[in-house]
Amino acid sequence: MTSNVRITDSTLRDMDRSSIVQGYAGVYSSFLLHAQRAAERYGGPAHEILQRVGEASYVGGQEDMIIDVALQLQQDRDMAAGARP
Amino acid sequence: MSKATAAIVGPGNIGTDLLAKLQRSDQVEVRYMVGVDPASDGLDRARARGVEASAGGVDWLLDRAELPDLVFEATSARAHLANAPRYAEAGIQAIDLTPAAAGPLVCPPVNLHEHLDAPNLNMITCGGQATIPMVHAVSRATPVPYAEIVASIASRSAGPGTRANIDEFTTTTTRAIEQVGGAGRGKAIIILNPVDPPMIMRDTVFCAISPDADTTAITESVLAMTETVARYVPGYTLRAEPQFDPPGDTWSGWARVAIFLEVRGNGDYLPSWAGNLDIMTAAAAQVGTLLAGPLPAGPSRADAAGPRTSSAGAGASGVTA
Repeated sequence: MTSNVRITDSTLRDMDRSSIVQGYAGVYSSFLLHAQRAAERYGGPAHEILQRVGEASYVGGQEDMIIDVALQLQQDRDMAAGARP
Repeated sequence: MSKATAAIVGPGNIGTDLLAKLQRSDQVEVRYMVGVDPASDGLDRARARGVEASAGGVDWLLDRAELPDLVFEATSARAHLANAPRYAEAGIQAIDLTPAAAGPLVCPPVNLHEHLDAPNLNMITCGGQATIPMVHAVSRATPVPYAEIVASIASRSAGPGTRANIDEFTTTTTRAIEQVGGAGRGKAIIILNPVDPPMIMRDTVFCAISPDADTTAITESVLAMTETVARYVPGYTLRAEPQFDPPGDTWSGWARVAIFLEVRGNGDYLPSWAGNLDIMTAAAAQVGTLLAGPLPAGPSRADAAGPRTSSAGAGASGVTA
């Protein structure tokens, strides 16, 4: 993960599900790396976090809510796993 | 048994919500609502609730035959700085809900007991009232060299007074994180989110802590403080247990605890998403109640001859109404 992002072949190759969902859900661009970090920390795919962040219409500055969303998704998964027979 | 009398100056979002809360109080009676705009809806709402209301400003208030014991200022920092000396001169103890910070910074569960005598008490900010109890909860368990808070509120809940005071919000909250919360260095961020339907107030507290800090003690302290605050703000909840992270690359060797809060309002004036109103007005009402003193016992106002002489604030300034 580099902080000095330029449009290179590798950036274009990184056009993955997360970045596409981010555009679809209308999420502020700098949230992508935060969502990837939160996905690593709490498990689950980054695109799911971005989808929820978009649905909540969080704005730039609310990066803290990305962790909150990742936590809620983790709780949802735990609950679903617990409810399974 | 007589109640302490009060005036609310500033009939906006905060003043109106505060009126609803104080009208349920056994210890404080709101006598006057004061504004400057005759067309203000807030003055009409106060009249509908049986409170004498005027657009004549502080001049009108200080001309009353019976001055209140307490004045709650819900205008703006600039207005309060102009009004504060006049209240002091009249011997009226002021509870300041603007970020003017003319008097000591007060967060009821942390330091109110130290300032009951002050002629002017500052309620910091809505974000401060939500987050400083948590900074304090962490710093009483382990040293906190740095604390950062993010307060997100619905745009609709921020009236003209709040918007005029965004800079004051950040500086006053920052100072309170350090002085009241006990962090070495503080930082405060406020976000107005325009989403519709409006978002419920959210607050996040990040504290730098030692990598070998006692996480169990911190969690217990945070949970205990959440209960304390929830006693006067029932909608104050933790979204999850405190989250601990090991030192990151750019954290100068410090580990981090993150605390995620939601503040759901009582819906007294604005709907429940405006928790930022509640946390501020509930804290101010709590202060008013404690300043008014216990009803049945103690050196109560009822023992005193005048409306002001029993209050510690009057004792400190030597002035009575």
